[in-house]
Amino acid sequence: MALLTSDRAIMILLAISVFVLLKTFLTIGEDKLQHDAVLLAERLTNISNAGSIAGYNGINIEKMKELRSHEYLELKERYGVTSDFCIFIEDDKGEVLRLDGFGVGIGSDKIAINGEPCD
Amino acid sequence: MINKKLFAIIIVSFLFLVIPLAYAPWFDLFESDCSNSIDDDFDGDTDCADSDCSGQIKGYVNDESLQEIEGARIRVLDASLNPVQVHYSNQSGLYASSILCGTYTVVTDFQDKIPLTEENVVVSPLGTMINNATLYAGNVCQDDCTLTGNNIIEAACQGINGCSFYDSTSAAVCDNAQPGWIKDYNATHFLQCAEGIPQNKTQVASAVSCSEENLIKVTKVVSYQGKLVKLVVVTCG
Repeated sequence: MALLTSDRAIMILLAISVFVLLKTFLTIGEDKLQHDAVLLAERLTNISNAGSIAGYNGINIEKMKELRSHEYLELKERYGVTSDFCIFIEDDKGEVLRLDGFGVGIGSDKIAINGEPCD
Repeated sequence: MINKKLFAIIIVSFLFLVIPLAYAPWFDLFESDCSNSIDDDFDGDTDCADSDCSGQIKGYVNDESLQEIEGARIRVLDASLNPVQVHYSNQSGLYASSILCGTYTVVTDFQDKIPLTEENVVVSPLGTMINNATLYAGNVCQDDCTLTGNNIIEAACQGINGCSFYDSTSAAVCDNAQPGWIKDYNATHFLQCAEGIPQNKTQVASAVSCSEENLIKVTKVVSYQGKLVKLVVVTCG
């Protein structure tokens, strides 16, 4: 009876450990995604940053085109992020603004906007 | 007998003195009459085409408050509006130059002031034409429908200096915008100011999905083409 109780306790402890570990890994993953998203947004909009697409009058279309001309992996390296990302512009109604000659966004095809890959 | 001697002297003088002098490259006799259609000094140039008949063009350039303008450009154009001379006013606003006599058009401009064009400016032989110019500050419509001196589109520029809005709605929509800004033409169309053609809005509702488990969306409000928009960064993993 005591052995049974001990086994049961070990099983419960094991389950808790697995849960905690899983939760920890998942949280780390989410934190990394969050970190990369914030970092990318900051680097894109900070005028003093070399990779910024913003000018003194807001988003600069020429810089957007320049961004678009790079390979996706180059962009990840340029902005120092490892997560897959997609950059796009929404208007005040929450609708995606398509820029001339651009797809729906700039980034990874793992991310889709309204079913359309972001690349 | 004396008359014969005198005649011989005159002939010899003419042959050995006057003719060589007239054709000598280093000796140009004066174009004695600048309006007789005769090349009086045999140098190949007749009347006003001869620099002997040159006059002078001069004048002061100032602004509306009568302050001298230094560095104003004065272009002197011929009858075919080809530039003949270009001058720049000095510290006192003065310019002066010798110029062949004739009729000219003089265009004076300086920075964002309204250029002044004066036609039929006549420089008479050996005369001095005084051509003063007063330049006024002002905004002139440019071909992109903005005014000189700023980058703001004015609906009132329609039809002036090559500015052409698509229609009156476009003009109203783009009034006070800047070139390149995207503005709503109506509920279904947008246009690029100032002279763009209204185009269908090709917008897609943003429903973002990720092929992996987690998705983070970060937005930043930025200005784009004169509108506040959201720059969205989505990460997925």
